[in-house]
Amino acid sequence: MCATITSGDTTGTGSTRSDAEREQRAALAALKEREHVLQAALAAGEGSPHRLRYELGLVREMERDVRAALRRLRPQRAPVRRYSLDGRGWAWLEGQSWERLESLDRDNRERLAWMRAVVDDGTSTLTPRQREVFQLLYREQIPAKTAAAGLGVDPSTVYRTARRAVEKLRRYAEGRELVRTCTRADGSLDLRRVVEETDLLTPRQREVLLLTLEGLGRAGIARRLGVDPSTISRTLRRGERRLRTLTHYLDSAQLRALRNGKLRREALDWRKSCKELAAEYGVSLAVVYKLTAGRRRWEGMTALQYDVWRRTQAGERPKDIARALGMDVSGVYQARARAKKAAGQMRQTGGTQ
Amino acid sequence: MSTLAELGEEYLAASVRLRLGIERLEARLATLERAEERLALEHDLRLLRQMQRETREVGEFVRHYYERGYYRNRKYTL
Repeated sequence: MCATITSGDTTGTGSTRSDAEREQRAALAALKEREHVLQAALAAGEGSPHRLRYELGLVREMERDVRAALRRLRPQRAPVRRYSLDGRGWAWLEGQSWERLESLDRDNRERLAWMRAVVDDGTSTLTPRQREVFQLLYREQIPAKTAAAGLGVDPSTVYRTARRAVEKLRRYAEGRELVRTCTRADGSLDLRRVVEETDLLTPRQREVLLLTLEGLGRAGIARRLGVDPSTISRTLRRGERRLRTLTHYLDSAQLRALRNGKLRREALDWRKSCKELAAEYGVSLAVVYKLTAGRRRWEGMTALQYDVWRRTQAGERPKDIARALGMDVSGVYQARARAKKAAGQMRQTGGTQ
Repeated sequence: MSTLAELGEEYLAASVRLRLGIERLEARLATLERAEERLALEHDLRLLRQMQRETREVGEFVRHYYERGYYRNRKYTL
Protein backbone atom coordinates (compact mmCIF):
# COMPACT_ATOMS: atom_id res chain seq x y z
CA MET A 1 0.00 0.00 0.00
CA CYS A 2 2.86 2.29 0.80
CA ALA A 3 4.49 1.73 -2.57
CA THR A 4 1.67 3.55 -4.32
CA ILE A 5 2.49 6.78 -2.60
CA THR A 6 6.26 6.78 -2.81
CA SER A 7 6.64 6.59 -6.56
CA GLY A 8 7.63 9.58 -8.71
CA ASP A 9 10.82 11.29 -9.68
CA THR A 10 10.99 14.71 -8.09
CA THR A 11 13.90 15.95 -10.18
CA GLY A 12 12.71 15.05 -13.65
CA THR A 13 12.00 17.32 -16.58
CA GLY A 14 8.73 19.16 -17.17
CA SER A 15 6.85 16.20 -18.62
CA THR A 16 8.01 13.65 -16.04
CA ARG A 17 7.31 16.14 -13.33
CA SER A 18 3.73 16.54 -14.49
CA ASP A 19 3.45 12.74 -14.81
CA ALA A 20 4.67 12.34 -11.25
CA GLU A 21 2.26 15.02 -10.12
CA ARG A 22 -0.63 13.28 -11.88
CA GLU A 23 0.31 10.03 -10.18
CA GLN A 24 0.42 11.66 -6.78
CA ARG A 25 -2.92 13.38 -7.35
CA ALA A 26 -4.51 10.08 -8.36
CA ALA A 27 -3.08 8.46 -5.22
CA LEU A 28 -4.46 11.32 -3.12
CA ALA A 29 -7.93 10.97 -4.69
CA ALA A 30 -7.92 7.21 -4.02
CA LEU A 31 -6.89 7.80 -0.40
CA LYS A 32 -9.62 10.39 0.07
CA GLU A 33 -12.20 7.96 -1.29
CA ARG A 34 -10.95 5.30 1.11
CA GLU A 35 -11.17 7.83 3.96
CA HIS A 36 -14.83 8.56 3.13
CA VAL A 37 -15.65 4.83 3.04
CA LEU A 38 -13.99 4.27 6.39
CA GLN A 39 -15.71 7.28 7.94
CA ALA A 40 -19.07 6.03 6.70
CA ALA A 41 -18.37 2.56 8.10
CA LEU A 42 -17.35 4.05 11.44
CA ALA A 43 -20.49 6.17 11.58
CA ALA A 44 -22.70 3.19 10.70
CA GLY A 45 -20.99 1.02 13.31
CA GLU A 46 -19.94 -1.68 10.83
CA GLY A 47 -17.05 -3.86 12.03
CA SER A 48 -14.64 -3.27 14.89
CA PRO A 49 -14.44 0.45 15.71
CA HIS A 50 -10.86 0.11 16.94
CA ARG A 51 -9.78 -1.52 13.67
CA LEU A 52 -11.66 1.12 11.64
CA ARG A 53 -10.10 3.98 13.57
CA TYR A 54 -6.66 2.48 13.06
CA GLU A 55 -7.23 2.18 9.31
CA LEU A 56 -8.57 5.70 9.15
CA GLY A 57 -5.46 6.96 10.93
CA LEU A 58 -3.29 5.03 8.49
CA VAL A 59 -5.07 6.53 5.49
CA ARG A 60 -4.70 10.03 6.92
CA GLU A 61 -0.97 9.51 7.52
CA MET A 62 -0.61 8.41 3.91
CA GLU A 63 -2.51 11.47 2.72
CA ARG A 64 -0.08 13.59 4.69
CA ASP A 65 2.79 11.88 2.94
CA VAL A 66 1.29 12.39 -0.53
CA ARG A 67 0.58 16.06 0.18
CA ALA A 68 4.19 16.51 1.25
CA ALA A 69 5.34 14.85 -2.00
CA LEU A 70 3.05 17.15 -4.00
CA ARG A 71 4.45 20.18 -2.24
CA ARG A 72 7.93 19.11 -3.27
CA LEU A 73 6.84 18.77 -6.87
CA ARG A 74 5.81 22.40 -7.04
CA PRO A 75 8.18 24.45 -9.19
CA GLN A 76 10.80 26.10 -7.05
CA ARG A 77 11.01 29.77 -7.88
CA ALA A 78 14.18 31.70 -7.24
CA PRO A 79 13.61 34.14 -4.38
CA VAL A 80 12.84 37.63 -5.64
CA ARG A 81 15.26 40.25 -4.42
CA ARG A 82 13.59 43.36 -3.15
CA TYR A 83 16.64 45.40 -3.87
CA SER A 84 18.42 45.75 -7.17
CA LEU A 85 21.56 47.55 -8.15
CA ASP A 86 21.12 50.54 -10.40
CA GLY A 87 18.01 49.04 -11.92
CA ARG A 88 19.84 45.84 -12.80
CA GLY A 89 20.11 42.83 -10.59
CA TRP A 90 23.33 41.36 -9.44
CA ALA A 91 22.35 38.30 -11.48
CA TRP A 92 22.81 40.35 -14.63
CA LEU A 93 26.17 41.56 -13.42
CA GLU A 94 27.23 38.01 -12.68
CA GLY A 95 26.26 36.88 -16.14
CA GLN A 96 28.70 39.32 -17.78
CA SER A 97 32.30 38.44 -18.41
CA TRP A 98 34.93 40.84 -17.21
CA GLU A 99 35.99 41.67 -20.74
CA ARG A 100 32.44 42.49 -21.75
CA LEU A 101 32.01 44.73 -18.75
CA GLU A 102 35.20 46.54 -19.62
CA SER A 103 34.09 47.06 -23.22
CA LEU A 104 30.71 48.52 -22.31
CA ASP A 105 29.84 51.74 -24.11
CA ARG A 106 30.14 55.22 -22.65
CA ASP A 107 26.63 55.34 -21.25
CA ASN A 108 27.58 52.54 -18.97
CA ARG A 109 30.75 54.20 -17.78
CA GLU A 110 29.26 55.09 -14.44
CA ARG A 111 27.95 51.63 -13.90
CA LEU A 112 31.29 50.18 -14.89
CA ALA A 113 33.08 52.43 -12.41
CA TRP A 114 30.63 51.36 -9.76
CA MET A 115 31.09 47.72 -10.62
CA ARG A 116 34.88 48.08 -10.51
CA ALA A 117 34.69 49.79 -7.13
CA VAL A 118 32.49 47.03 -5.77
CA VAL A 119 34.72 44.28 -7.04
CA ASP A 120 37.94 46.00 -5.97
CA ASP A 121 36.69 46.90 -2.49
CA GLY A 122 34.59 43.80 -2.07
CA THR A 123 37.42 41.40 -2.77
CA SER A 124 39.02 42.57 0.47
CA THR A 125 36.21 40.77 2.31
CA LEU A 126 37.05 37.50 0.59
CA THR A 127 39.39 34.89 1.99
CA PRO A 128 42.75 34.58 0.19
CA ARG A 129 41.62 31.38 -1.49
CA GLN A 130 38.32 32.89 -2.62
CA ARG A 131 40.17 35.89 -4.01
CA GLU A 132 42.54 33.60 -5.89
CA VAL A 133 39.71 31.57 -7.41
CA PHE A 134 37.70 34.71 -8.24
CA GLN A 135 40.75 36.18 -9.97
CA LEU A 136 41.29 33.03 -12.03
CA LEU A 137 37.68 32.42 -13.02
CA TYR A 138 36.25 35.88 -13.49
CA ARG A 139 39.17 38.09 -14.38
CA GLU A 140 41.49 35.75 -16.22
CA GLN A 141 38.59 33.72 -17.67
CA ILE A 142 40.30 30.40 -17.04
CA PRO A 143 37.96 27.37 -17.20
CA ALA A 144 37.15 25.93 -13.78
CA LYS A 145 38.66 22.55 -14.61
CA THR A 146 41.98 24.07 -15.67
CA ALA A 147 42.01 26.28 -12.58
CA ALA A 148 41.29 23.23 -10.41
CA ALA A 149 44.16 21.31 -11.98
CA GLY A 150 46.46 24.29 -11.37
CA LEU A 151 45.40 24.60 -7.74
CA GLY A 152 45.54 20.84 -7.24
CA VAL A 153 41.95 20.51 -6.05
CA ASP A 154 38.71 19.03 -7.33
CA PRO A 155 36.71 21.17 -9.82
CA SER A 156 33.73 21.02 -7.47
CA THR A 157 35.84 22.75 -4.82
CA VAL A 158 36.65 25.52 -7.29
CA TYR A 159 32.97 25.94 -8.20
CA ARG A 160 32.00 26.05 -4.54
CA THR A 161 34.68 28.57 -3.64
CA ALA A 162 33.72 30.77 -6.63
CA ARG A 163 30.07 30.61 -5.67
CA ARG A 164 30.86 31.65 -2.11
CA ALA A 165 33.08 34.48 -3.35
CA VAL A 166 30.35 35.80 -5.63
CA GLU A 167 27.80 35.48 -2.87
CA LYS A 168 30.04 37.52 -0.56
CA LEU A 169 30.53 40.15 -3.24
CA ARG A 170 26.81 40.35 -3.86
CA ARG A 171 26.14 40.90 -0.19
CA TYR A 172 28.87 43.50 -0.07
CA ALA A 173 27.44 45.28 -3.11
CA GLU A 174 23.91 45.33 -1.75
CA GLY A 175 25.04 46.44 1.68
CA ARG A 176 27.18 49.19 0.24
CA GLU A 177 24.46 50.45 -2.07
CA LEU A 178 21.76 50.31 0.55
CA VAL A 179 23.85 52.01 3.18
CA ARG A 180 24.90 54.66 0.67
CA THR A 181 21.32 55.45 -0.25
CA CYS A 182 20.24 55.44 3.38
CA THR A 183 22.90 57.88 4.56
CA ARG A 184 21.59 61.27 5.62
CA ALA A 185 23.26 64.56 4.70
CA ASP A 186 25.05 64.67 8.05
CA GLY A 187 26.61 61.28 7.42
CA SER A 188 24.47 59.43 9.94
CA LEU A 189 22.71 56.27 8.89
CA ASP A 190 18.95 56.17 8.47
CA LEU A 191 18.60 52.84 10.22
CA ARG A 192 14.83 52.79 9.84
CA ARG A 193 15.13 52.91 6.06
CA VAL A 194 17.81 50.22 6.07
CA VAL A 195 15.55 47.99 8.16
CA GLU A 196 12.56 48.66 5.92
CA GLU A 197 14.37 48.09 2.65
CA THR A 198 16.85 45.29 3.18
CA ASP A 199 15.85 41.82 2.18
CA LEU A 200 18.39 40.25 4.51
CA LEU A 201 15.90 40.34 7.38
CA THR A 202 12.93 38.07 7.84
CA PRO A 203 9.50 39.82 8.03
CA ARG A 204 9.29 39.09 11.75
CA GLN A 205 12.76 40.47 12.44
CA ARG A 206 11.85 43.59 10.46
CA GLU A 207 8.65 44.01 12.45
CA VAL A 208 10.41 43.65 15.80
CA LEU A 209 13.30 45.94 14.82
CA LEU A 210 10.92 48.65 13.61
CA LEU A 211 8.97 48.47 16.85
CA THR A 212 12.26 48.78 18.76
CA LEU A 213 13.19 51.81 16.69
CA GLU A 214 9.83 53.30 17.63
CA GLY A 215 11.03 53.12 21.21
CA LEU A 216 9.10 50.14 22.48
CA GLY A 217 10.81 47.90 25.02
CA ARG A 218 11.07 44.13 25.02
CA ALA A 219 7.99 43.66 27.18
CA GLY A 220 5.96 46.17 25.18
CA ILE A 221 6.72 44.46 21.87
CA ALA A 222 5.99 41.05 23.38
CA ARG A 223 2.61 42.30 24.60
CA ARG A 224 1.76 43.83 21.25
CA LEU A 225 2.72 40.74 19.24
CA GLY A 226 1.30 38.32 21.80
CA VAL A 227 4.48 36.31 22.30
CA ASP A 228 6.97 35.68 25.09
CA PRO A 229 9.55 38.42 25.82
CA SER A 230 12.35 35.88 25.41
CA THR A 231 11.18 35.27 21.83
CA ILE A 232 11.44 38.99 21.17
CA SER A 233 14.98 39.06 22.57
CA ARG A 234 15.99 36.19 20.33
CA THR A 235 14.40 37.69 17.21
CA LEU A 236 16.00 41.03 18.01
CA ARG A 237 19.42 39.50 18.53
CA ARG A 238 19.25 37.62 15.25
CA GLY A 239 17.95 40.64 13.37
CA GLU A 240 20.70 42.83 14.78
CA ARG A 241 23.32 40.30 13.83
CA ARG A 242 22.07 40.34 10.25
CA LEU A 243 21.99 44.13 10.20
CA ARG A 244 25.56 44.30 11.42
CA THR A 245 26.74 42.15 8.53
CA LEU A 246 25.01 44.63 6.25
CA THR A 247 26.11 47.93 7.71
CA HIS A 248 29.67 47.16 8.72
CA TYR A 249 30.69 47.32 5.07
CA LEU A 250 30.67 51.10 5.32
CA ASP A 251 32.79 51.99 8.31
CA SER A 252 32.75 55.31 10.09
CA ALA A 253 35.63 56.67 7.99
CA GLN A 254 33.69 56.05 4.80
CA LEU A 255 30.57 57.59 6.28
CA ARG A 256 32.61 60.65 7.30
CA ALA A 257 33.99 60.92 3.77
CA LEU A 258 30.45 60.94 2.37
CA ARG A 259 29.44 63.67 4.77
CA ASN A 260 32.52 65.74 4.06
CA GLY A 261 31.92 65.55 0.32
CA LYS A 262 28.39 66.85 0.74
CA LEU A 263 29.54 69.58 3.10
CA ARG A 264 32.21 70.76 0.67
CA ARG A 265 29.73 70.90 -2.19
CA GLU A 266 27.29 72.88 -0.11
CA ALA A 267 30.01 75.25 1.06
CA LEU A 268 30.31 76.57 -2.50
CA ASP A 269 27.14 78.55 -1.85
CA TRP A 270 28.55 81.60 -0.06
CA ARG A 271 25.14 82.65 1.24
CA LYS A 272 25.38 79.84 3.73
CA SER A 273 27.72 80.73 6.55
CA CYS A 274 30.16 78.34 8.16
CA LYS A 275 28.13 78.54 11.35
CA GLU A 276 25.00 77.47 9.52
CA LEU A 277 26.85 74.59 7.88
CA ALA A 278 28.22 73.48 11.24
CA ALA A 279 24.75 73.54 12.77
CA GLU A 280 23.20 71.69 9.82
CA TYR A 281 25.75 68.88 9.79
CA GLY A 282 26.11 68.71 13.54
CA VAL A 283 29.87 69.22 13.52
CA SER A 284 32.09 71.77 15.20
CA LEU A 285 32.96 74.99 13.42
CA ALA A 286 36.61 73.93 13.29
CA VAL A 287 35.68 70.94 11.14
CA VAL A 288 33.86 73.20 8.67
CA TYR A 289 36.80 75.62 8.54
CA LYS A 290 39.19 72.76 7.93
CA LEU A 291 37.05 71.23 5.21
CA THR A 292 36.36 74.49 3.43
CA ALA A 293 39.77 76.11 3.84
CA GLY A 294 40.75 77.74 0.58
CA ARG A 295 37.50 76.70 -1.04
CA ARG A 296 35.37 79.63 -0.05
CA ARG A 297 37.52 82.16 -1.85
CA TRP A 298 37.16 83.17 -5.44
CA GLU A 299 40.11 84.92 -7.05
CA GLY A 300 41.42 85.89 -3.65
CA MET A 301 38.11 87.29 -2.45
CA THR A 302 35.54 85.97 -0.09
CA ALA A 303 32.27 84.95 -1.64
CA LEU A 304 30.57 88.22 -0.67
CA GLN A 305 33.43 90.33 -1.97
CA TYR A 306 33.45 88.37 -5.21
CA ASP A 307 29.72 88.86 -5.68
CA VAL A 308 29.94 92.58 -4.98
CA TRP A 309 32.95 92.89 -7.29
CA ARG A 310 31.16 91.16 -10.16
CA ARG A 311 28.08 93.32 -9.73
CA THR A 312 30.25 96.46 -9.65
CA GLN A 313 31.97 95.34 -12.84
CA ALA A 314 28.53 94.84 -14.38
CA GLY A 315 27.79 98.51 -13.61
CA GLU A 316 25.37 98.16 -10.69
CA ARG A 317 25.22 100.98 -8.14
CA PRO A 318 26.19 100.23 -4.49
CA LYS A 319 22.66 101.12 -3.41
CA ASP A 320 21.14 98.51 -5.76
CA ILE A 321 23.72 95.91 -4.75
CA ALA A 322 22.92 96.51 -1.07
CA ARG A 323 19.22 96.09 -1.77
CA ALA A 324 19.78 92.94 -3.81
CA LEU A 325 21.97 91.32 -1.18
CA GLY A 326 19.91 92.56 1.77
CA MET A 327 22.72 94.45 3.47
CA ASP A 328 23.87 97.93 4.44
CA VAL A 329 25.37 100.21 1.78
CA SER A 330 28.44 100.79 3.95
CA GLY A 331 29.00 97.03 3.94
CA VAL A 332 28.95 97.09 0.14
CA TYR A 333 31.54 99.89 0.07
CA GLN A 334 33.73 97.98 2.49
CA ALA A 335 33.43 94.74 0.49
CA ARG A 336 34.15 96.62 -2.73
CA ALA A 337 37.26 98.20 -1.27
CA ARG A 338 38.58 94.86 -0.05
CA ALA A 339 37.72 93.19 -3.36
CA LYS A 340 39.59 95.92 -5.18
CA LYS A 341 42.60 95.31 -2.97
CA ALA A 342 42.41 91.54 -3.55
CA ALA A 343 42.03 92.07 -7.29
CA GLY A 344 45.13 94.30 -7.26
CA GLN A 345 47.09 91.64 -5.40
CA MET A 346 45.89 89.00 -7.84
CA ARG A 347 47.07 91.10 -10.75
CA GLN A 348 50.51 91.48 -9.13
CA THR A 349 50.95 87.76 -8.39
CA GLY A 350 49.84 86.64 -11.83
CA GLY A 351 46.18 85.85 -11.31
CA THR A 352 46.29 82.38 -9.90
CA GLN A 353 45.26 81.12 -6.54
CA MET B 1 16.28 -7.77 8.52
CA SER B 2 13.66 -5.73 6.73
CA THR B 3 14.06 -3.49 3.72
CA LEU B 4 13.78 0.27 4.01
CA ALA B 5 10.33 0.20 2.35
CA GLU B 6 9.08 -2.30 4.95
CA LEU B 7 10.65 -0.25 7.69
CA GLY B 8 8.87 2.81 6.31
CA GLU B 9 5.52 1.04 6.56
CA GLU B 10 6.28 0.01 10.11
CA TYR B 11 7.04 3.59 11.03
CA LEU B 12 3.75 4.63 9.44
CA ALA B 13 1.83 2.07 11.49
CA ALA B 14 3.68 3.10 14.66
CA SER B 15 2.82 6.73 13.98
CA VAL B 16 -0.87 5.84 13.63
CA ARG B 17 -0.80 3.84 16.88
CA LEU B 18 0.79 6.81 18.63
CA ARG B 19 -1.86 9.14 17.17
CA LEU B 20 -4.65 6.90 18.46
CA GLY B 21 -2.99 6.76 21.86
CA ILE B 22 -2.70 10.53 21.97
CA GLU B 23 -6.38 10.93 21.05
CA ARG B 24 -7.37 8.52 23.81
CA LEU B 25 -5.30 10.38 26.39
CA GLU B 26 -6.64 13.75 25.20
CA ALA B 27 -10.18 12.47 25.72
CA ARG B 28 -9.21 11.34 29.23
CA LEU B 29 -7.58 14.68 29.98
CA ALA B 30 -10.88 16.46 29.31
CA THR B 31 -12.53 14.42 32.09
CA LEU B 32 -9.81 14.89 34.73
CA GLU B 33 -10.43 17.30 37.60
CA ARG B 34 -7.34 17.15 39.83
CA ALA B 35 -4.49 19.44 38.88
CA GLU B 36 -1.72 16.92 39.69
CA GLU B 37 -3.29 14.27 37.50
CA ARG B 38 -3.76 16.74 34.69
CA LEU B 39 -0.13 17.84 34.93
CA ALA B 40 1.11 14.25 34.82
CA LEU B 41 -1.07 13.45 31.82
CA GLU B 42 -0.03 16.62 29.98
CA HIS B 43 3.56 15.62 30.52
CA ASP B 44 2.87 12.17 29.02
CA LEU B 45 1.06 13.77 26.11
CA ARG B 46 4.01 16.03 25.37
CA LEU B 47 6.30 13.04 25.26
CA LEU B 48 3.93 11.11 23.02
CA ARG B 49 3.58 14.04 20.61
CA GLN B 50 7.33 14.30 20.35
CA MET B 51 7.57 10.56 19.73
CA GLN B 52 4.96 10.82 16.99
CA ARG B 53 6.71 13.75 15.38
CA GLU B 54 10.01 11.90 15.33
CA THR B 55 8.38 8.71 14.07
CA ARG B 56 6.84 10.66 11.21
CA GLU B 57 10.15 12.30 10.36
CA VAL B 58 12.14 9.09 10.39
CA GLY B 59 9.39 7.28 8.48
CA GLU B 60 9.36 9.90 5.75
CA PHE B 61 13.13 9.89 5.56
CA VAL B 62 13.24 6.09 5.27
CA ARG B 63 10.41 5.86 2.73
CA HIS B 64 12.05 8.32 0.38
CA TYR B 65 15.64 7.31 1.03
CA TYR B 66 16.32 6.09 -2.50
CA GLU B 67 14.40 8.78 -4.34
CA ARG B 68 16.68 11.02 -6.29
CA GLY B 69 16.40 14.66 -5.37
CA TYR B 70 14.02 14.10 -2.52
CA TYR B 71 14.51 16.50 0.32
CA ARG B 72 16.76 14.90 2.88
CA ASN B 73 16.14 15.78 6.46
CA ARG B 74 19.36 17.30 7.69
CA LYS B 75 18.56 16.22 11.22
CA TYR B 76 18.98 12.56 10.31
CA THR B 77 21.88 12.84 7.89
CA LEU B 78 25.45 12.46 8.99
